[in-house]
Amino acid sequence: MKILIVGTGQVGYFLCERLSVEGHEVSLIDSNAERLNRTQDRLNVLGILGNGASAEVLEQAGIKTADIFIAVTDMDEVNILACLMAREYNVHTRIARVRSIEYTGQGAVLSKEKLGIDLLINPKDAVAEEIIKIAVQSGAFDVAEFVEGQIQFLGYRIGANSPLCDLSLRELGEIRGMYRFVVTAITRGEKTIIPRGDDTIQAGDSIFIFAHQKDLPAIQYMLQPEKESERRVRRAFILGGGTIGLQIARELENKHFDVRLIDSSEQRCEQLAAKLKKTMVLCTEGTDIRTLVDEGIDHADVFIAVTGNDESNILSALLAKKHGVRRTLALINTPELLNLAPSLGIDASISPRLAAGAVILKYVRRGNVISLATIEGSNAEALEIRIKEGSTIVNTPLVDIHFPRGAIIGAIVRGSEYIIPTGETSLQPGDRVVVFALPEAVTKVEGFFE
Amino acid sequence: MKISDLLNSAAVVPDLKAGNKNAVLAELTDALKAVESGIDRDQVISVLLERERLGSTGIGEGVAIPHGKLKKIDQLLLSFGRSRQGVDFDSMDGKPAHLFFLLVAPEDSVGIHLKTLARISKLLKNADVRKRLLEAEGRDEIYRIIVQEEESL
Repeated sequence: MKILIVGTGQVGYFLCERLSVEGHEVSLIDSNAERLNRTQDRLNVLGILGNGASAEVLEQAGIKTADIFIAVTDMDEVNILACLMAREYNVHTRIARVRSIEYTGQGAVLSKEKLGIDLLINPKDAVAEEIIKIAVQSGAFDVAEFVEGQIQFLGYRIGANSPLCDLSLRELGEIRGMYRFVVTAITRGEKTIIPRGDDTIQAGDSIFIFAHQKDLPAIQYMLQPEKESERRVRRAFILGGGTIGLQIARELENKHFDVRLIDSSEQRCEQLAAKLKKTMVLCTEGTDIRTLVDEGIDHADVFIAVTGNDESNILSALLAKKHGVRRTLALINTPELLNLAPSLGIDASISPRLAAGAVILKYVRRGNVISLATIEGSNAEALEIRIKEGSTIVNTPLVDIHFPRGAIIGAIVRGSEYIIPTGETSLQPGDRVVVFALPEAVTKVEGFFE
Repeated sequence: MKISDLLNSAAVVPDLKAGNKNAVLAELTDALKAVESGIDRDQVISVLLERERLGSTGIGEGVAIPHGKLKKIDQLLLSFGRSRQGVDFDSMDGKPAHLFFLLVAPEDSVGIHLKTLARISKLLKNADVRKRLLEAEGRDEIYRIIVQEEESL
């Protein structure tokens, strides 16, 4: 497909990278020559210098033949205007990034329908939603949903006292009658593998599993290293009372968390206290460990650092961890730091770039691939595919099909039924299949199901 | 950890009287208590029920492995029960359960817990083993079959 992207910020770069690797014809418009050249040098994209809302520039970039238009500059107005232009050129799919809730909030005066934009994406919303999902799932660090949330994709970091330590995949297979989940990948050091029966899970590993939503309570009961003390209320600390922090606090309140929200600005704290019902607002620094201890950080379930400063987020998350909080989540903007965070002991790091990028990618790749999650740091992917009528791979046991190496089918949803596949399983038209694929296998998997 | 090392033949109930799920859990807990008198009966039952609420441990083919984590014990405890008439255990395949292993584990040794569960599941996956256990004369024969079949796992 021919894709036109406007803006080379973090989201734009991420999209250029992924979409060009996937074999799409990508043109990129940016008004900053230096940024444009850097992207052109690294990636296989055609760069055009200029304003993405100008007809001349758009035509130069080939808008007349473009299938998808994505406007992700850091100016809402430019993105919206560019999308309006794209509509005039009859580009089929139009996507814009907007920061202001004026366009995305409930009862927005100018909605995406009025603007004729197919997807309006707000990175802050995307990242807040991602963080809430992770905070609510205890123990897991990377969560994606497939088949309308029925199939969950979870990552677990395996500590020395994890119940899964030293368990072989074969042993896990034996207890599948009671604990229905599939370990699709193990990340050990720099390497991600798709494990086989003889492989064992070791301390320090990260594992990625697929499980059905309804089986999660039992799985979590078993995988919890220490028992949750008698159904007590979970306590969350949030550092940073910006839009993201506020949104997370609200949602966790709804989910019956005991929330403490920390911000260093007195004025902002007053505003926050007025906007939130049950949250306790603390006016201090994230590194003020004495106050945090007084407020019970040692019994807290999760510490969520979402200030605008990566270093503060990382540092205060580490401090909180040292003082006994069970899990830490940090918002990280800088790609380089994003890869560093897990090795420091932060349980999950979330970037707005990736959160927004993943939502857009998912939209662009609609079709048979209906949902997608990117596993940070490895570029491996989990994807959902619907088996087409007349597909040549149906009604043949999987063991007889040459499924791409480096990929594994984790779950099949057939009507109301959920199947963990074995070699004898065969696919049926209409099945929704959730697949995990290492980077080198992603395109092969897509080809396989074509 | 071997099943035969954990299971005392005195904790084998060849003919369960219970007619429903809760009663089976109580009867198997009593069997545990027969060999490990220190445990708190009500607490064990409530732990097992809590686990059942999250999803049945009836794995189908007439087998159920109720289990749970307990604070104040030092080692894994195991009992076995058989019900010839069968008991509805909300199993995945909808069939009544006939063969039961009950397992409680200390909270801090969940890894061994899982390994033992895997071993029991594997043992009972064998249709021949299930048949032999169902047809066995009484307690001693059941115990012998378990020990013997575990050897060939």
